[in-house]
Amino acid sequence: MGRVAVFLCHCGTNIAGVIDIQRVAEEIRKISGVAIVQDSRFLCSTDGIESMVDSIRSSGVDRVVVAACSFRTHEPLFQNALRRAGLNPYLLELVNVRELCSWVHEKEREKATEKAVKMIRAAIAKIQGNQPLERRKLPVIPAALVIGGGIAGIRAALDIADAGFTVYLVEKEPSIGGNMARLDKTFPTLDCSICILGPLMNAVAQHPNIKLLTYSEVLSIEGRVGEFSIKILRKPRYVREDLCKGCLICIAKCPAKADDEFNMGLSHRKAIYIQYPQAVPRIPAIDPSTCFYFQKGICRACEKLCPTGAIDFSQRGEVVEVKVGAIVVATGFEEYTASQIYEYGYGRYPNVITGLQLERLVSSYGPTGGRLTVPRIDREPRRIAIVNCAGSRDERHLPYCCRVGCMASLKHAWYIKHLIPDAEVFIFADEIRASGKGFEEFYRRVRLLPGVYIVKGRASEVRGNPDGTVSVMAYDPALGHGISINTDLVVLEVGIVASRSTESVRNILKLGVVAQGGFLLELHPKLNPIETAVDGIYICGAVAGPKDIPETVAQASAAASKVVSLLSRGYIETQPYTARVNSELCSGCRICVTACEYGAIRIVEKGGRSVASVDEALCKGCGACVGSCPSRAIEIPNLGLDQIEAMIAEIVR
Amino acid sequence: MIPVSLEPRVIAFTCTYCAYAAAETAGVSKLQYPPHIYIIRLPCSGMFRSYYVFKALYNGFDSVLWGGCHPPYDCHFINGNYKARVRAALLKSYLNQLGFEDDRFRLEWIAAGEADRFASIAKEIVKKATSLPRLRFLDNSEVVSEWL
Amino acid sequence: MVRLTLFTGCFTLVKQVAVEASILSVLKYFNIELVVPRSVNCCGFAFRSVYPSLSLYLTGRLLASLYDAESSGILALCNGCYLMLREAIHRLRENPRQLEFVRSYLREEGLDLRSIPRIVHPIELFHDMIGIEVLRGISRGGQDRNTVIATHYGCHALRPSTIPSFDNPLNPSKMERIIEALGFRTRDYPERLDCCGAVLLASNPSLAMKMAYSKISGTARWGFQLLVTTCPYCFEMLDSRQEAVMQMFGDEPKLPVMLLTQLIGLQIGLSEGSVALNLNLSPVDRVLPYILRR
Repeated sequence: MGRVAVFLCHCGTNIAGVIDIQRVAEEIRKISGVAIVQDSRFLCSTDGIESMVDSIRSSGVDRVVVAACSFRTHEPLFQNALRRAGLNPYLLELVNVRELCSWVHEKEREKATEKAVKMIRAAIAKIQGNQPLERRKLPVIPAALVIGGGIAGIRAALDIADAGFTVYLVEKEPSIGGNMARLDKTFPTLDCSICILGPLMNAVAQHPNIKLLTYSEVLSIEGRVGEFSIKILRKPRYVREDLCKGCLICIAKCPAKADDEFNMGLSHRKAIYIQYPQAVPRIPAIDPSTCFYFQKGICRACEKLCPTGAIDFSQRGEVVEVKVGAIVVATGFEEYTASQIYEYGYGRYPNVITGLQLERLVSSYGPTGGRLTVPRIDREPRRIAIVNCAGSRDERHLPYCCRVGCMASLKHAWYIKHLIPDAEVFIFADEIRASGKGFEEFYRRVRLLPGVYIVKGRASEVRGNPDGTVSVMAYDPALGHGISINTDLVVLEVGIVASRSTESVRNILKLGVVAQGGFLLELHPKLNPIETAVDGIYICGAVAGPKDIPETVAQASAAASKVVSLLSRGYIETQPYTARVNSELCSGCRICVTACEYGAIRIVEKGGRSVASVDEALCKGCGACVGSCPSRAIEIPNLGLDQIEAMIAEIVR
Repeated sequence: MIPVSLEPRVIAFTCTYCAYAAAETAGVSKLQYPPHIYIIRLPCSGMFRSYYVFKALYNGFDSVLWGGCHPPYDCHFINGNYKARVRAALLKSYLNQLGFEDDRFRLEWIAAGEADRFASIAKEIVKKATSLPRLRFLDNSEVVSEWL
Repeated sequence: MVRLTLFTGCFTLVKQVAVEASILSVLKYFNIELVVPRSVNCCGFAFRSVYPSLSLYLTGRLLASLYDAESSGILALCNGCYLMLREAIHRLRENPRQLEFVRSYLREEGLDLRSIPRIVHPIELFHDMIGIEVLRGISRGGQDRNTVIATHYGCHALRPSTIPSFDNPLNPSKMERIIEALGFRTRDYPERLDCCGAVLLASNPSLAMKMAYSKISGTARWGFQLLVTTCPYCFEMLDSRQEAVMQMFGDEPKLPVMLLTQLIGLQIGLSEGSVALNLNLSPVDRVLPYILRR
């Protein structure tokens, strides 16, 4: 049985004003195993602590009970005192006789004193079962994985790499750049999008610390924060990256045709292609589903033309394994399926397009080289309708606001007026949400353009006319009746959802998602928008919720800062209260494995039997496993069942 | 023989991040409640096992309170509260079959900010425990002790 | 042999007799027994917005008095009646107070609401109960397969979308499949789901006529040769009143309109008389050569 020192704090009159400290001390001294009982006016004061340390040393006790205030206020202070006195800091029991006794039973001094005695007796009974505990230090691999090569992934990768750590940037497309590369200009400054993105993409390609893995996908992730093992599939481009010089002669003569996904289906590309001229890396890829050689066994024109012999039809996919200490998920967004909104006619009429499709049409490296024409009809539109909130803020589709649509609609109106000065633009919106820096000013600027009209009502329907025009109907509150406007082109500002690759990534990582939109779930919506429920995995950018570029970049840098903080510390400390398995009692039933939300328990072979084993780095000490074990084989040290039993018995004695 | 005193005794198992925090905040706010309730702090309500409840009742507590965080999102350890809810429901039906009154065990969700709720539940549970008869166990029966 | 309880609704009995005549003739061919109930009342559509509890009672009374254990359901010929019946079922299921309210009045007559009958729409009858394959079988050629026919479901067949109906309210397709099975062509057109305006006849007749004009002229400009519908009210606006409607806007009748059952009857080989085609006031003569079996 251990020798216990008991320290009683008066806390001025906070405790002593209600509880008779001397009586308590008298009762506690009677208990066997209690070596000394000492009271003090303010235990947390320098004097109080010094005297505590001295008493511990001189009395030769091996465990300490302190009756004072909340563990939240001074537990670390008292734990430190034990350390200084040469004791393990977890051989301490802090009894809260202030918040849980003196403060709440002010009128019943007699009973409060009695209760305090019982609480302290219970703590003494409990502490007999305490063991010394340690926080282990586990190493952190000084490398990070960033999944997603859009602006979020690029920014995060650059920040982490600049801090001196290795970054593996994995992107599923042949080029990095993401959705931002599709935009012509960015609001509200009207910067050319690729002009500001391009230098960052190049910086990524040239950064000595960044290993760029494009046309690749994450297959599996194992491990824990500080040590993740990741398998990445590098899909075959059928072009040798070490030989290709990026001259692109191979593309010119390819006879095959496929839908150009980068241009949102508005044009065709070849079977061998780069996504856009500024692609990084500037190495083409061959799409086997449309390539004449792969499909029919003929052609091979690219191979014949390539001056360095870089085409290699025998290339295979390769699985690489990397080990990192932290992971950043930045897989971005995509547009909601506009054809789901039946009444807007997307897919039924060729002159109804989405916002991103408009961006491609006006882009100088888009399907029309920057000429704004109605797709398939190839006529310059004179009157264009922009329909805001298409699918957003709508219970039938996406209940949330897409956050960028209003500003995008203003930018699109500007594009149209800039390219076709005589055009008339009608924006249909409930209101224009312009909350960021410079946004309201941009709204004013666009609103004042001649020929730009904003109808303060959502478009109800788009219907086609025999002459190929489409009419947009809405209720205009300014006029007090419904209107129908005949237009040549309708641009739908469609809502946005998390990109489809997010689903497989989140399954691999076991992250939570928001039901509507599929966005990844952060640890806390207000105070922790970057961390997730899994330690060491961070999210940033549009995959965490709709947002514009400045917010995305801010979050990317935030994620990078958290990663750098983790990697530069170089180690993680396990928390001391990790569950322990008594393999004698464990039957290997696996109930605890399922009960653990953090995946901290595995079944291992031990002495010829299957028993549970806890990974200290993952265990959070919540006790869910303890509650579930039918054999009482797993317990949290210093919170054992027999200790609780002892407390219960003491209180009723 | 377990001594019989005239006053009720209630034990509350509380989770660190919600119910216990509420209890401490009640203290800070100087909300008053009867002293017959003892609070034990556990990391999470998901640590629930019926053993704790049985042991408490057997040792002489009149009533047991189990406090956790509100579903769906408050639990600091993701969903320990759901585990507690399921196991507590099983226990409740079993307690009824064994002949324990409904008021002997209570599962409550108390958020960290709900100090006044903690205080009023404490008052209520002590009051109800006063009207419950003292539990008498056949403590000299070997079968009963072994089982518990 | 399928047995259905026939509910014509007021308007068919009073004016649009072709609705009843044509469906009675046609269903004989398909071996469907229609039971004519002894006692009916107005479905209550007219009071929907002014006296909702009365209209709910009226519909509830219908559900009680038309219930027949041996019948597979109530065939509601009019879209308005079809809406009232299925909506009442939905409301009485959700709201026990309203159910008790209706039952207390029914008890005074010795009636009660026991089981819930299936409410069948004519399109549902042909597509789901009789079946597309059977319809394909009746069409033995002779018609011009290039005839393009416009479908008009009518608002109350499918809306409001919160109450279950027989097809997708935003993009229905069952009537189109019936048309195609009969050997004709059909297309989506922007005005397909537009209202005929009948519901406004009492409160705002000029707006009702304007809506009918918008529907007829809008449909006609797409080159359809015929429009078919099932509802007597839609038929009233689009067929019986087409001349008045078009003249009101300086135009002339231009779109032949028939009931679906008339089209099916003509395909089976029934005479124009037995499907009451002589009662149609739209220019149906223009389209007859294209759709009749020779």
